[in-house]
Amino acid sequence: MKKYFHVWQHLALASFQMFFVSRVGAVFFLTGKIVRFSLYFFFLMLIFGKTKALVGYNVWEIILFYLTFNLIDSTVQMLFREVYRFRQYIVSGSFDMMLVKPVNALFRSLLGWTDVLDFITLVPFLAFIVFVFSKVGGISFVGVFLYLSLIINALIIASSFHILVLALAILTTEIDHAIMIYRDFTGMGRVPIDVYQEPWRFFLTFVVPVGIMTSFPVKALLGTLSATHLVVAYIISITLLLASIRLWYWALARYTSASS
Amino acid sequence: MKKYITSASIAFGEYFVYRLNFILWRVRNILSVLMMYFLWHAVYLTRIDMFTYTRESMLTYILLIIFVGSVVLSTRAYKIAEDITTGNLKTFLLQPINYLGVALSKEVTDKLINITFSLVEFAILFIVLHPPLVLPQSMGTLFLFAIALFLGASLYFEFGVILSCIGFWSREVWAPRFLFYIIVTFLSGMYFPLDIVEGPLGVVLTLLPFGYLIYFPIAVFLERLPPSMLLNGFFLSLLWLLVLSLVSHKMWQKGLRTFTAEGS
Amino acid sequence: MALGRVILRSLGVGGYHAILTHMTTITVSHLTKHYAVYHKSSGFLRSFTSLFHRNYHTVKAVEDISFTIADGDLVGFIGPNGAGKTTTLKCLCGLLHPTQGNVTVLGSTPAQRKSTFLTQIALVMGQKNQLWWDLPAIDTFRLNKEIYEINEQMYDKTLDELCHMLSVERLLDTPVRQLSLGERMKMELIASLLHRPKILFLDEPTIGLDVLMQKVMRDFIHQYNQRFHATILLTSHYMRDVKELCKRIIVIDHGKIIYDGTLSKLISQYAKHKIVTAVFEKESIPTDLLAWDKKAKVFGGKVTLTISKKDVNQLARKLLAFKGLQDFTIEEPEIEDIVRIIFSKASA
Repeated sequence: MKKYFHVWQHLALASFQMFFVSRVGAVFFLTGKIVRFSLYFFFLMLIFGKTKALVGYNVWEIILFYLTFNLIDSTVQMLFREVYRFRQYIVSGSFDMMLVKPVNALFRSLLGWTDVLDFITLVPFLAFIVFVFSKVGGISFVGVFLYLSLIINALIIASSFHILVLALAILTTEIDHAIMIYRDFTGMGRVPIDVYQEPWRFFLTFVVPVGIMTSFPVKALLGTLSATHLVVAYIISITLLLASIRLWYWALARYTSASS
Repeated sequence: MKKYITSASIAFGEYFVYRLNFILWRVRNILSVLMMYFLWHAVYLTRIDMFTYTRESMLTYILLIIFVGSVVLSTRAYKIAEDITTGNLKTFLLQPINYLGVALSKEVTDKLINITFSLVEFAILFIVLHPPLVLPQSMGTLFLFAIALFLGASLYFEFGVILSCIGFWSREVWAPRFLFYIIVTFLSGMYFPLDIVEGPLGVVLTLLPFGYLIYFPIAVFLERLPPSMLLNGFFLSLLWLLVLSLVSHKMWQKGLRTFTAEGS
Repeated sequence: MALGRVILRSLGVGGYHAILTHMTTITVSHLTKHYAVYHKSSGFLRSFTSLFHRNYHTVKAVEDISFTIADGDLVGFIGPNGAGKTTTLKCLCGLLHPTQGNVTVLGSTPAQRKSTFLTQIALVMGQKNQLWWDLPAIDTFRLNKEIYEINEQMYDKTLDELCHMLSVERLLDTPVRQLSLGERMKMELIASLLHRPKILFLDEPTIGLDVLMQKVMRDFIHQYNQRFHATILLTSHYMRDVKELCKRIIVIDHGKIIYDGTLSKLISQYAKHKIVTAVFEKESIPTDLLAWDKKAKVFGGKVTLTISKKDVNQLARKLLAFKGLQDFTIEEPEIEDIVRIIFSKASA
């Protein structure tokens, strides 16, 4: 609804403003993100200096996998940064102030903060990806379409997870590591899921759907993704989304606010 | 002495209060290594050796990261930063104990817990992955390994104190730590053995203190270093430890002066 | 006759009930709320086992309370800490589901947290804030404008009026962290009232404020009630808040309502005494006077006596006969004392 878009817009603008209040920290964070990206890239290149192919993919394809991961990762962090602050709201009781307003509490807790730095990093990622598209051969229109739709699919899975974290925060207030686990798991998607031996590969593709999130888009683009897998991917993401939302509402019902 | 033991046991209790967190934290340790393990395994599918590492030695390296990382890189030194920025340090300064001494004893508890659990994790991974391991030939190696671990842990503790001291002068403690951690992750050998980097870059890496956190102890264990390099390594790590201790001590003193002067 | 029957049948019993509850803005019947509180174990062994199993006990925060509040009322909830005031308030806002009992506010069940309900209420809690710390208050105001979908003109009008009432016009663009506690409280109030709620819930609104600010707060609440005709419910453990603002007070202790009615009735019902203060010249206090109250307080020429109501008239006549009497007053006892008596009676 229009109202929710306006509210999100306002929240995003406010987060941008608040961000500029602390500029020194911003420099460190941005530098950190760039350094992390570059060092890992350097490491991948180091390996490829000595070997021609990794699990059947050439250099450019591997780079594409890496960039796709980064695109999804940055988008997720940009949109859902508020989830990291959520625990504070519960502990301090500020969450009550959110519940008393006619805005969906899940919406507010999930999308309440938009991270400027991740937003900034998106642009070069997109540019780089388009560049790599030209280096990787055989890109079809259908491929690109599937690529984009699977990226959106990945975002749906990511939001399901973040909603789960929010629900956990209400129930236990002990969620510090849950988000980091998510990051560790999805971090495994920096390389094609084929790198992992079975049964890990199955686990990482369908149980903890990292493979679906980060590898499927590229595979679809390269035309190596089967139709079955494609359908399964969509089914899993929708199921996870519905389940996590269900869990959120259940947790909310059980909520006892921090006493005065 | 008793008060240090008491504070250590309190620290122990604190871990279990946050039970879910604790379990998740251990799981993360395993995950962080799994990716690298599989990646290198895949790399070695098509080759026997790479960068002078055989498949066996590379995979041993990666698995050892869990253990060494747990011992060296786990630290509560960042709690110091917390105490500074929240002002809690005031309370501690009023008590008849040496604050850094207490921090150190908590650190020891931390390491002991970590060593215990990482051994368990190591065993689990060993059973599950059936990795080919390269084990040291002599007891002397293990002895040197222990020393290297000790040096690495001390180095990291000093780093932690120095970074925490930033809290005396600025509210931004997390941001520099974030950047530091990323740099350390790569330059310490947590992602890949540092000697795969050739040329002048490789030399720089041996001169920096970070390599002595993870890479050096493991290299000692794997018996990859000729005696001359061993000597060099220990010498450099000792040197860095000295330098960092001096810096951290100076910063701590200076910081305390600023802290108490402001009466924040 | 037939028409009456048709009307009643079309309303149905439920319809009639709905009309009834709409006239009373808030209806609470047999509300009960219990919490489970977990035990934190100390010591190494217990810490380890707590990884697997935790003990807890039940706190009975609110125990079978019932009351109704009509449109436009200004009601005060008084009780010591932990009495159940805030819990009751949270049940009324929809923040807590009752363990038992019914709550109806403006015709809805608060726990369902419907949008139509939430747009008509406002909650201000003393220690919890909704303003962004690093930004000026006006930014949070604009966010609330979007959230409550207030149109531009109404927003401007309400904002002007509220700022004027609280005299904070020049502070709108100052970052909240640079404001004093009192100024911040004012901004919190404005943020909560931009949408002209029908009901305002205030939880400990004067806590932590200096005496001057407390008065400003009370004056504002009174003004707001008059001007905007909002129903206001406030909880406090400061008697002064309630004494000066609320005609009706509800006294809660240990989760139960001990008294629900007007302040004056509370005094006449529970206060069996009056305080008589007499001032004599030259410190010549007649000894017979002191016989009226063994616990009389003497300070220089002033004597303060606590006399039962039935004896007051008699004493007054006696007093007037005393030589050297300069002045005397007959007062109600402090409300704080009355309430203390009520609490001690309740817990006995």
